Order: sequence, then C-alpha cells, then structure tokens
Amino acid sequence: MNFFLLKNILRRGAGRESGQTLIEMLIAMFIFSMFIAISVGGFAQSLATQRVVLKMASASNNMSLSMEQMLREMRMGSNYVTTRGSDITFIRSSVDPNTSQVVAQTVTYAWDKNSGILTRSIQNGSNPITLTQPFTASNVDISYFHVTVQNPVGYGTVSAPCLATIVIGITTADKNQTVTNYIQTSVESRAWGM
Amino acid sequence: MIFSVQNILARADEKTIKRENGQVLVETMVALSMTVIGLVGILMVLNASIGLNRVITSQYISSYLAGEGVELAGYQLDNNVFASKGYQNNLAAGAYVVTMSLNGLALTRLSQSIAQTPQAVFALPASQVYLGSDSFGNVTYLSSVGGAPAGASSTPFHRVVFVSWQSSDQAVINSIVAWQTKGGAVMSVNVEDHFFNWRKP
Repeated sequence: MNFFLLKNILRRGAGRESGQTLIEMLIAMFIFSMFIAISVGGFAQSLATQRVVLKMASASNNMSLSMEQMLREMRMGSNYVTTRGSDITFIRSSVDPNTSQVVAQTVTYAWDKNSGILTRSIQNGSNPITLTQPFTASNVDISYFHVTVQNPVGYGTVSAPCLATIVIGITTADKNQTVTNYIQTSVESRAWGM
Repeated sequence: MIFSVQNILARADEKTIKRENGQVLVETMVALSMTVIGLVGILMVLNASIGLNRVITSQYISSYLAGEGVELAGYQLDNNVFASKGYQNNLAAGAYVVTMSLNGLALTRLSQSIAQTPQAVFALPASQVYLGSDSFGNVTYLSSVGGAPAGASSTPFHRVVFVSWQSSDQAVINSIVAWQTKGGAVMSVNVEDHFFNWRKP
C-alpha cells in the first residue's frame, strides 16, 4: 500500500513538475512571441526608414551634381530673368565649334511640375531651334522650384549685378513615408557687361 | 529492499525530470537573451545609421545655406564696385544675418558682437533660420531678428555671416550654420571666402 502510495505521489509530483514546465514554456513562448512581434515591427520600420534615407541620399547626391552644374553656368551667365518664378533664363557666351566665333546662347532651366524634373533648354542666337533636355536624374523628384531674381534685366537702371535665389524641394517617398527637403542658395552673375 | 530500489529509481527519475525541466527553462532564457541582444544590436546599428544619415542631410542643407551667406556678402561687395562706392560700403566688420527685403535676400548687421564659434551662433536667437513664405507666398528660408516670421516653421539651423577686414581691400567672410543633433551636440558648417578689391584703381 505504501509502495503504491509513494509511487503515485512521486508520479503525481513528476506530472505536476512537467505541467509547470509546459506552462513556463508557454509563458516564455508568449513573451518571446510578443517581443519578436514588437522587434520585427520596429525592425521593419527601421528598414523602411533606412530605405527612405538611402533614396534621399542618392537623390541628394544627384541633385548636388545638377546644382553644381547649374550654378556654375549661371555664374558665368548674365541677364537673369524669370517669367513664372519656376524658371530662370540667362545669356551665356560660347564658342561655336563650326565658325570658332563667340556666340550668345540663351539658356533656360525650368521646372516640369508634372514630371518632377528640371529641364535645360538652349538656343543659339542665330539658330531658332531650342534644344530642351531633362536636366535632373530620374530618381530626383523635384516637388518645388522657385527662383527670385534681384536686379533683373529691364528692372529700372542697372546699378548692380543680377542675383538669383533658388529654392528647390526634393521629395523622397517610400510606401507610407514621404520626406521633403528644401535647399536654398543664391548665385550672382559674375559676367558683367555681356 | 525493494522499496529502497523503487525509491531510489523514483527519486532519480524525479531529479532527472526536474533537472531537464530546469535546463529547458534556462536554455529558453539564454536563447531569449541572445535573441534580445542580437536584435537590440541590429536595431542600434540601424538607429545609428539613420541618425548619421540625418546628420548628412542637415549638412547637405546647411552647406547651401552657408554658401548663400558668402554669396550675399560677395554680392554686396560687387554692388559697391558696380555703383562706384567704397569697397567697404554697407559691409562693416561684424556679424550679419540673412533677412528678406522687398528686393529679395539681404544681409542685416547685428548690433551685438558674437564670438565666431558654432556654439555662439547656435545660442543666438536672432540667427534662427525659419522655413516660411515670402510676401508672394513662395517657400524660402528666412531669418528674423525680431522673432519668428508669421506662418513660418522653425528649422534646426542657425546662420550668422561674419565679416572682417584684413585690409581695406580684402574682406574675409565666414558663413557659419550651426544646428543641434538629437544627442545634443552642436554641429556646424563654416564656409570661408576672401574677397579682393580687384577693380581698385
């Protein structure tokens, strides 16, 4: 009698211990699952942010190059004028490769709002054909572009060189995240008396 | 005797079960801890990466703002040459902020003297740069000496343009843009340029 009783107690005891381990395991698994769910959520969010950041970095690099080219050309140009604020036109001199003569060219940078890009148009003084091409890279989404010109051509007496202040909004979007960075800079015409 | 053997076996079984149960729990805790450490590590690296990219973005924007400060100082000097005025006209040594006038952006001299350090630039309320609209509703970065322009949102950037003269024909322009990172550190971009009175008769 004692033997069975003791065995039963031990078995029952062993059974209870097993049950406790299972409950502990379940609790541990539940906590683990909760933690994993939160971590994976945070991780996914971080990855999404990282994707936006990488896109932004790539767009910024491309935009830097475009800005550098545009500002350099504007600095060497003159007679800044803007018609709608979303474009800038100026005169620059260039050497015609066919005639080796210095010719005046009209250059226009304009914002194509629908495509989210800047275009560059160029026209020789003697050639009526205007060549227009996309100027910014395809991964650069320009959501805002505005130019303010100080001392534009035809504005009172020309007592100072032209100065253009350019504001560009670059938008980076990825699923639910959209970030717009505005860059602003001013450029002065160094080509006086052209 | 037989009871003793049974007891020993039963106790041995019990101990084995208990020990194994304990091992499962410990193993789970260790595995959980390792997973936690691993995931936290990855998240920290990602967070640091995003933070650094935020700094790069700020540097990107501020480098253009700082360059603009130098350009506006050069513009004032060229205006002086263009109008046959003294080279130092309207650009006395001191600290300036970029303000919006009717014609566009211009430099406005601050009455107080400021140390030429990022910390001093950041601490100056008048140097705060706002992102707002000009009188025509166009987006622009604005500085306001008197306070926030109406409807403009503040940016993390502070900008001061320092003008000093090495001689009456050589201006030294330092355009400093400073901002504070999330960690509290003050970062800055300092663009320096020297302008010479190359049209001096």
